[in-house]
Amino acid sequence: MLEFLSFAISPIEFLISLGIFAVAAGLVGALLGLGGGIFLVPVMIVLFGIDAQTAIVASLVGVIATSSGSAAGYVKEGMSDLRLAMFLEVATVIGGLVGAVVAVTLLAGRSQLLTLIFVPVVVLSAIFMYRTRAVDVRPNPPHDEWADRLNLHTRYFDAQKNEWVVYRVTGTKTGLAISGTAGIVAGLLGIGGGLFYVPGMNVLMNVPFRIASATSNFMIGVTATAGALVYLLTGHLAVGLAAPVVIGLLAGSLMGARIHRTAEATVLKRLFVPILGLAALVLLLRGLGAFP
Amino acid sequence: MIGTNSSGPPRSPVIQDDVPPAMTRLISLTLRVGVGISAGLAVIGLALLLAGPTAAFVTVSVHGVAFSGAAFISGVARGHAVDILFLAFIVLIATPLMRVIISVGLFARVGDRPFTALTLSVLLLLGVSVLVGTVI
Repeated sequence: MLEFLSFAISPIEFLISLGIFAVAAGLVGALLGLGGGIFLVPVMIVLFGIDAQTAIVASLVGVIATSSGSAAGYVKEGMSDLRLAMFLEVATVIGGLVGAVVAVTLLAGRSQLLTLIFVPVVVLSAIFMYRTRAVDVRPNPPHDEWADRLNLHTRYFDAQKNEWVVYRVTGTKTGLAISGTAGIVAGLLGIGGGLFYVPGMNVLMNVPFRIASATSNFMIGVTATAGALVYLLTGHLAVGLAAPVVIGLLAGSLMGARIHRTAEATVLKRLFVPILGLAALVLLLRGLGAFP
Repeated sequence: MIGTNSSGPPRSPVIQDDVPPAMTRLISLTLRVGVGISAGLAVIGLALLLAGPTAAFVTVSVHGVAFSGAAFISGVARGHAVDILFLAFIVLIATPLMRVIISVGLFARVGDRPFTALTLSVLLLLGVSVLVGTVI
């Protein structure tokens, strides 16, 4: 039986209401480089009574659509830092694969414990973001040998400030560790991993927030693909549920990408902090078994 | 370092100095086409699914069902909703894969060895995902 807030609903009503939530999640996700899954998975579980595992897999596939849809625009306009993304993707794909494998084997039915483990990580991301919200790029970050060797330093034109911003990437090893963690979370919880990429790149790697957000969107697709391939081939994808999720998230992400072009970095950061707090609360409640 | 530059505003907000020129255009096109085809197929599949027995709306899954390539192709050709939706998701998942393949080729063409190796590693890891998903 299909339901919304425990009320029985028709398939059409289910489709429309789930689609609306997916559009909203996709919009906010694209705006903040999150992918949208962090909002949609709790909505599917709590409001629609969908089984957690089914919701996670549908979200993960939807996240690929969100990422690819919004990244197409960002890449064309040069907003995504492709070299940095491809460097970090090595770690994130490993994480995504590991997360999905653990989810379908060792932790099948025991995801509450791991959800709780990730709560402090999300809170830490919010604290990092809050403390550094006034500074976008550090003028003199610590020297990083890998960033120098791979020539990860670059520049972008900030249309709001009407000036070129040169940024020197630092903390590559930390960035790889965070990307690997983000991949595990993505594969395990069906979220994009942007929750970790954006603050990781912005705060620790000295990447401007708007670039970090656009680069995160670009990376999320590959991260989710690593996990989605495992879920798809092991037969965990409910295609009827994933379809409205994909279509809704994609529509929302395209709207979010349009707004992202004109949004102020500081405004985006201020928006990001309470959303991270909310995500932590939802994860905590889920981990404590407040909802199935 | 933050500073101004005399070269003036660019046509695009970000300069990627060491990315092969065709890369941004090709990757953007690949993502756009892949997502477009996938979304189109998902809309068609969803419409067909809703037109059929509605009880299967959420519960339709391939869990526990052995995948048969011939049956899948036949199902798509016959306009079977689940097979069309499955095709939509295959196209969707293949889209980021394609952009990694394109990146490998373009980095290799310009002789950027470190990034050819990095992108090739990503591709191989995605191949491992397929292998793992098949074996589990």
